[in-house]
Amino acid sequence: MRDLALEVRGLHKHFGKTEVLRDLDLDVPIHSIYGFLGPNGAGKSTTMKIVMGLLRPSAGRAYVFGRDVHRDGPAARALVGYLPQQARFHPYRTCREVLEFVARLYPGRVPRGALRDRTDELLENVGLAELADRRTAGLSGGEAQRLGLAQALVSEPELLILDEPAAALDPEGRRDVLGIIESLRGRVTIFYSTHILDDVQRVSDRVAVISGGRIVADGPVSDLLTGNESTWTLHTRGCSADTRAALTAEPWVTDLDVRSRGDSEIWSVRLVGDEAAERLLHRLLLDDGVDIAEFHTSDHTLEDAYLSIVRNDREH
Amino acid sequence: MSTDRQPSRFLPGLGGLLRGELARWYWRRILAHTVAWTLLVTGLLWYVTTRANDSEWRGFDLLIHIWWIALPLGSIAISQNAMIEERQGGTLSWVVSKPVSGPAFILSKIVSDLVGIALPAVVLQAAIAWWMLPALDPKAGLAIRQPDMGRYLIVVGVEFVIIVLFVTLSVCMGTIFRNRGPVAGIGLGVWILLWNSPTDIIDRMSIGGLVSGELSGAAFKPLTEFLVFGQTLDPASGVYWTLAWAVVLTVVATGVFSREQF
Amino acid sequence: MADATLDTRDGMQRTEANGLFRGLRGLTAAESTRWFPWRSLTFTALGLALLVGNYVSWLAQKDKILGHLILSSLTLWVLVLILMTVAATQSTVAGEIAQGTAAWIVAKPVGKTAFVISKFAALIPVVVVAMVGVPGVVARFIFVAAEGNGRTEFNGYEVMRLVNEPSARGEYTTVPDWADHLGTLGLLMVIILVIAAAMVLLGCVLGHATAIFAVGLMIPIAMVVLALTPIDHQFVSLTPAWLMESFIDGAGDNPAPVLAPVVVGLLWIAGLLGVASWWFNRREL
Repeated sequence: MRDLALEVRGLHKHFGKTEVLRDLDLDVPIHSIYGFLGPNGAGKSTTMKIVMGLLRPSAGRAYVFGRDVHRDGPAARALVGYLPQQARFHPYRTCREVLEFVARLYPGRVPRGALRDRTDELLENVGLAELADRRTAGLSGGEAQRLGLAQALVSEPELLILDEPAAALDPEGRRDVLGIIESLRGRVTIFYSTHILDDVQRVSDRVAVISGGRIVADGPVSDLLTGNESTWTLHTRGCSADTRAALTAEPWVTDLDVRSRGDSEIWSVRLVGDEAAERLLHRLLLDDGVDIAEFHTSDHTLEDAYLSIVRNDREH
Repeated sequence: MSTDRQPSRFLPGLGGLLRGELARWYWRRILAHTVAWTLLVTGLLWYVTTRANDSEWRGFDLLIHIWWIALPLGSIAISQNAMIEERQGGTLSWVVSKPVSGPAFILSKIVSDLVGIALPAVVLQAAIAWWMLPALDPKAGLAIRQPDMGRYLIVVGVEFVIIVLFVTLSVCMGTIFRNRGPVAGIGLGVWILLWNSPTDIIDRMSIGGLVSGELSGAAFKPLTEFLVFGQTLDPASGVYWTLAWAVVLTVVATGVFSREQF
Repeated sequence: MADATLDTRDGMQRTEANGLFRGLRGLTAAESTRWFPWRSLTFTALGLALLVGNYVSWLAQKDKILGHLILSSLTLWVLVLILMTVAATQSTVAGEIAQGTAAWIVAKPVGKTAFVISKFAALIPVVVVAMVGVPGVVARFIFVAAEGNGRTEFNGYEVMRLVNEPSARGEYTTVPDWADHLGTLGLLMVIILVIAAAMVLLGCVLGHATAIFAVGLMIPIAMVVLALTPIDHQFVSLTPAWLMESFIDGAGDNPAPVLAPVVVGLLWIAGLLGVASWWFNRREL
């Protein structure tokens, strides 16, 4: 338990008859940057809310640095900075006052004399220095999200839990958030959910994929990217309907997507197995009705891996 | 960074929450309340007393009457927001995701509203009335003579207990209901019930028996009789019962709040 | 208000209200769902409980004087209704503005005036039926039942007593006939509707819940003070306080006008809603 920042065991949560989490286990190592992926409604926010003590689990336990989040809630939360999915603040406080208010809720974290410097530094880092003394009622969605990140960081937390931190941000804001996450690498454990898979691939060490309320894949990003699936792109001419139908029926073809461009077609074929690419090429070369103009592999992205995992889970 | 800096075991987060809540009161808000309460209490007191005939002159009885109308209504108006505003604004879940306990959150709401209401509405108005009422009519009879300071402080304490009751009631209802309507409605209902209590039992088990009553006829309110005529505080049990109700309401509020999910 | 005939995709022609009142019917129907059935039933149950409770309390008294029962029932009831109205309506407009749903609704093809009026229109059946109508009718049956309990018959020899002791008048009160009773209920309905209209206006103008509630409470207090204070009647008759004055007079079995105060009250409602709509139309959401 000592080398885990967050440990979740056998978590169940149901709202009425709807089961949102089913026997969910999760281990987030200390100082990792841990991406939490899953389709809408999969249970990402529910898991985070249970960890933050905002929801009670129907069964199971969650621990932050070994502290039970429900039996020892304040002590566990003292180590965490949390950004909810929709950051909301008291409309009567300015941005600086929000940070000062939050800092006071973590006694001993920020010395009184250092509070002003700390808030200035954070507001500068998230790009809100000019809005420091503006009331939060007037902030845009992106600005509120930036302030949300700043308030999560103000206590210098050991564990940062971010629920879709870049959701409401413009490209510049998204880049800034990734920069902040990068800057904390090795010092702070970061557990965050997102739908932007490019970001996960750029900054995460580990990833868990949740689907239907349980973890369906979990491990280092590199492990997920080196699966035995591959994606190939073909530019073809000619009548291909029969060929496509035949290929789709093959067990080593997991997905086939075709787009028309002028008189040619661009195929994107996802294959599984070591010799699948050779089989595909052989098959197409034998087909007189199809001319191949291009045949090349595409980089296997986290998006490919994620879609494959989620699709497999749904099928089973 | 270390993991040894932990919040207090007793009501973690109370200090920070209370500072944050009290910060809302100073200075613009407390100044606005000072002006409003002074106009309402002292202004009305001055207006009525300077126009009253000698036979209608009721001095401190009138002050207690105005307080009995203004303090419950003011407390309900202010404290009905304590929980509802945070819940509807979406900040409730944000605040409780910090290292704070439920009881600390509830207490910070109650204490800050008590301070924010009591200072401008009771303490300040009591000080003004202490000087103003006897000065308004030097020919004053028994009902307006300068009362004993000790007794006057007890009266001020009783008025504070009125605020305690209606603030804790509103905060408690705010943890149970999701809209202002029932929160304010129940507070107002309790006020009317205490004013028009159908049985003596309610008078003895609440503050209403000491302070309510009509402002007419020969009878004075029991609290006025204690203050001006030197009688015993009867029913004094109402004060203790009201404080007990306030404790019960606070415990219920923390109990309900600790079970809340966001 | 001109209507427009719209050709729709299904080939049907539909007539829609144009401009300010567009969408009023739909908005009112939607707003009504907030009040029916549970809130309305709560108001009815509260009124009935109060009237029955007061009757039971009266039965326990040694001197069962009908006039005291009628006066205490009606005055306590109007007090409770006024306070409940202020409490229940304080967030109808302000709550929608604060939560952003007002901006969301007026972004649809509805008039801003319709949005404001719908808040009030949805309250009319609540006030007429649930708050005043049902408990008010039951109240008269209670008074009839009480008439047999300790009523003091009036006879000519007691005139001098009334001259010397006007407060004894209540001892000779009889149950008001239906026309008078319905007149009293009508006054009460308009009093509540004036307060509801004022709360809609406050919701449009003021941003803070405490301010809306506090100022809202001042309105009925001002009405009562104006009604009870011996000031120029001509001034009072220009204000909704006339409704309160007539109501209190009627409750005390004194002759009181009904129609004229009701007309003044309705004019005030129109004025309050007009200002509310004007303010809401120029307000940025």
